[in-house]
Amino acid sequence: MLEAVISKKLRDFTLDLTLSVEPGKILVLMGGNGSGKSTTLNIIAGLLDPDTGYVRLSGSTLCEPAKEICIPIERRRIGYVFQNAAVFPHLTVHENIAYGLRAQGLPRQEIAERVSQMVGLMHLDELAGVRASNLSGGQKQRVALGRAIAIQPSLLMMDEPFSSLDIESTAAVKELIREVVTMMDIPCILVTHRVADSREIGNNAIVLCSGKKEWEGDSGFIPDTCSVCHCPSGSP
Amino acid sequence: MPRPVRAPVVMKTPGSLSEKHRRLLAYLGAAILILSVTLYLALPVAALFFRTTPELFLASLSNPQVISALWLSLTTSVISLTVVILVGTPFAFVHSRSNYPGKVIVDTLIDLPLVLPPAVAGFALLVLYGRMGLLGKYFHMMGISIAFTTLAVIIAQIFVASPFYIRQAKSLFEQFDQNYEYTARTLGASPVRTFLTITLPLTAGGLLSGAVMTFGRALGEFGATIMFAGNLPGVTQTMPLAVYVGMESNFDMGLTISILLVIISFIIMISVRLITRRGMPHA
Repeated sequence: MLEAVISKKLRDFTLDLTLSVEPGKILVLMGGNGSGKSTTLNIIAGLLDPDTGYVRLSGSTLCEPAKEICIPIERRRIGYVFQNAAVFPHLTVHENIAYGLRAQGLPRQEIAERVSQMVGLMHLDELAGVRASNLSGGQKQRVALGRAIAIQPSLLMMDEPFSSLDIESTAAVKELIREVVTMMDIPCILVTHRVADSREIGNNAIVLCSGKKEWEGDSGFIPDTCSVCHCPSGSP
Repeated sequence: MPRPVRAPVVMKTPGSLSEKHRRLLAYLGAAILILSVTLYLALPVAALFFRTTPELFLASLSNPQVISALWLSLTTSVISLTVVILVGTPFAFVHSRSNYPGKVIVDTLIDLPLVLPPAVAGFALLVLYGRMGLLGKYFHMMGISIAFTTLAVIIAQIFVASPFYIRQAKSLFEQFDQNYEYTARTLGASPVRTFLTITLPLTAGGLLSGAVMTFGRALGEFGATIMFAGNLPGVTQTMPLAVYVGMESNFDMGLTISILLVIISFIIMISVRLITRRGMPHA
């Protein structure tokens, strides 16, 4: 279970957000550009520090400024897929997926087993030896997802995973995300712009507007526009 | 009823040029411009090669002073480059990723040796490290001499050549997509591992190009070296200094070393071009 109470002063507004996600569920974060969605993910991942509040994952506190608790990024065990997938272009698909496992110092045999499992799960069998720079957008997203879950994270976060994908790849990646979250029984936060995607993939949703929670509820009922500033919650 | 507007009639006078001729003239003008600039730059270099013969060149190559200058230049330049890479890379990384008071001044100081006359650089180094210099007097009290030694050659080369590498490295690290680094960190990599396995390989092409330029600048260093290190054969007489001596006392030696420097410089520039052409697609 992920629980976060976050407050952080940003340039144009203060981000104030409380959220919780249960294992096996997907929370969709929506909102206009610069509403604080990616900042929220970065705070949970440890790339940014909140001014006040806390982030708790599976019962342990990752960050709580008042108690001077701040677990380093590399020890949080959070699978984070960035907007551009950030697949390491100089490494092969196999090396990308193995990267986190090597960083954690796992035995070679275990790394090989886990990578081969991920390659199969992400349908990347024929691309294992291909350099990541030669992959398509959809393939990169699958590599990024496989790499993120290979480390057996306690939380999966994805920032705009469908933004550069065509309809076919979007459907395939959505299917994979749902499969992975259910199989691993971990909470997942997904940032997207498209209302249709949110309604389809999410369990719950939060619509942010200038750092404040504008709407929260079942993702099937996300409003098309924000009632405060009438900015679109996302594109249809 | 409005009168129909007539299109202006262009009369072709006997002196006017057709489109074909105009284009030909443009090509001719461009060719003359390119040829004249190329010749201006290439002729002095070519003159060096025309002035010698292969036999004379090979005979001069066995001159102990040439060998000594060549050896000294190569070893000092390699040492200087190693120091610049080992210190400059982490410096450029930390500098590009942090904000601190006076950063603009540090930036300017990094670039200063690029515009400073090398003789001034040498003079400044002498004032600092010379026997009566600001720091030199303390070194002298400890029995350490820096000025007019091989160490002085290396210090001078590092001073004038390091900006070529540091500027390049700084710019690469500033433009680098940090999402790669963040991803590596979330996957469990420490900051050092992230730097060594992600940042460094993805900026290697640009860093290599900066290193090659730095090596070339160190190899060709003259002004600061002669002011700070002097011109002692076998100790501080690098190739450019030997060329200067050769011009006065041994023309063939000067010619041979000059040709060697031209060849090395050409190889350096070709290397930079090839490295740059291969590109830094991920940086």
